[in-house]
Amino acid sequence: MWRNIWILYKREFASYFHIPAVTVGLILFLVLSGVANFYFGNFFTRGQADLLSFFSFHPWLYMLFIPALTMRTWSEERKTGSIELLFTLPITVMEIVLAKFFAAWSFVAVALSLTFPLWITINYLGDPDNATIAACYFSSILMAGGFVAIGVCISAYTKHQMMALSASTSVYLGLNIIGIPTVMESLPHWIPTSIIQSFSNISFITNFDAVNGGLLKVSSLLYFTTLMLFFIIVNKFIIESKRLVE
Amino acid sequence: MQHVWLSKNKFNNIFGLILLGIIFFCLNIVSNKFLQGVGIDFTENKLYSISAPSKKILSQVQRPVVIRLYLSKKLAKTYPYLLNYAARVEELLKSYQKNSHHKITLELIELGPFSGKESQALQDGVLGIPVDGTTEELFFGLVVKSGDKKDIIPFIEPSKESTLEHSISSLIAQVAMLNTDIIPILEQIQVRAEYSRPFVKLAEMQLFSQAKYQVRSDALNQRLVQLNAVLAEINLKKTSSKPELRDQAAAEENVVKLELTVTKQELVELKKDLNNATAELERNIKIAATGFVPLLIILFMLLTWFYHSKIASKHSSAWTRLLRQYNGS
Repeated sequence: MWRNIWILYKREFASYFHIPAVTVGLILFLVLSGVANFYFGNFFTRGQADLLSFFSFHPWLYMLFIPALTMRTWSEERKTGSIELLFTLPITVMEIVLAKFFAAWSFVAVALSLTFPLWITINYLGDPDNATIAACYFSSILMAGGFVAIGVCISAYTKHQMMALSASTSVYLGLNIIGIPTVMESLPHWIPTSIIQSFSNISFITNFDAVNGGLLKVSSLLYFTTLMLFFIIVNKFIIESKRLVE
Repeated sequence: MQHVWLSKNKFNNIFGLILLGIIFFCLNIVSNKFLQGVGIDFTENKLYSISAPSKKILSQVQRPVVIRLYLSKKLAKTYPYLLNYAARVEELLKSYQKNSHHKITLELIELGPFSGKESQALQDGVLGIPVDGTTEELFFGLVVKSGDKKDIIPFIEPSKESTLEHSISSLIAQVAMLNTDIIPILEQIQVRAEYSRPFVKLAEMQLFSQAKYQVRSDALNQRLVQLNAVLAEINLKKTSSKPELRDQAAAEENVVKLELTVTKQELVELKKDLNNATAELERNIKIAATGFVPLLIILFMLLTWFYHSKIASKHSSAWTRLLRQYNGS
């Protein structure tokens, strides 16, 4: 099983480097992460040698960057008809789903590792807590896994890339904003706080913010892993049911 | 083959998925509720965990202890620094609770307008600090209770973060009335590291450029003092009775005044230069940190563009390569 996944993974991963749209997205992600850190994050006025202002923008940056990666994963195959060829091979649907998921996820990891100049800068300017930064990078990659799982799953649902792009961006937006305290407070008062609380528990922001200070919570770890698992299973289900209909 | 959707198997699948979604949702609610304080502390100085001496004190606590943390969260939002600090204090108290073998109960009380809990806070002896621009008071205090004994920190000052663990541990030890001598244990609690990590290098660089400018500005200031002394002398001469001396003074005055304005202008420009130098330093750091990798990628793209034909042929054979790989097994 893992051999098949590895072959498909290599093909998927290599394909990202041949698509100009993905490269443009990658450059945008890197530039925006720097801009967010220095201009919106008040990096110099805070005067603190940490990457708090950098990581706190990650849910929003992923919201823009990851749909550009995942939109084509299934819809492209469906449009060009190469999905038929894929199904003739002796591979299970789960293997294809996992290969596509891991390829997109590792590409995000590559993109994230390319933000290293910020880490060098912060080490040059002061004496930061590098263990905390490592924890933040780890949890950021974990969060990216959740984003990618959702994006690939939505791409499986449609033939049109733009459709997948806008749908996944809006899903991300929804999952981001339910974690913002001001949004939670502005909800109507007849909704019980326990319900609002439980919805904010499945927000990216609530689960990611805690790690920012260097404390990796077990509940956040559990959230991101179950999110990935859930959407991988949904993805498999969508592909199988669409295949039967066609 | 539309009817496939209606097959029994499909319905089972959909219900299975809905069930899975509900399980996913509930699992996260439950984990958020019960695994609240459980986590891995990655900070270098273990900011969220208590040290061994405190754990030793906690192991000797025999009777139940209640720790109550009062915080006006809404008011504190206008002070992000205080809110961050409060989050750290909260996690530290959770660490106490976790290591207490169920002896400590932690009560986090959020105060807000109309919450009606201010009176309780005041009764406990917590101090309300008036906030500028509002009639409300900000509460951020700690109460430790056990049996009929009670001790408080009326206001948890952010500047005393380094000794916070020491004071909380000693409060618990006093209230819980431990039989052993706790003073040697308390002495072992080290001063906690500061959370704040300022830009050392940037400050150094600023100091360096400031020192460079200092020499010049000192020279200019000295010249200013000299010129002022000359001007005072001229003013004296102007009051003399000899007319030729008065004329000479008037001529000199013009020259000296001109030099005075030029020197003052130079000082202003120097200050501007210093500010510009700092701004330029920050700008260079920004550009270096944001532009470095994107520039590399653009270069890489140009290279691939150069070898485009080669890469394109590779790309078109990706599927045949995959099929070949698979047939080879």
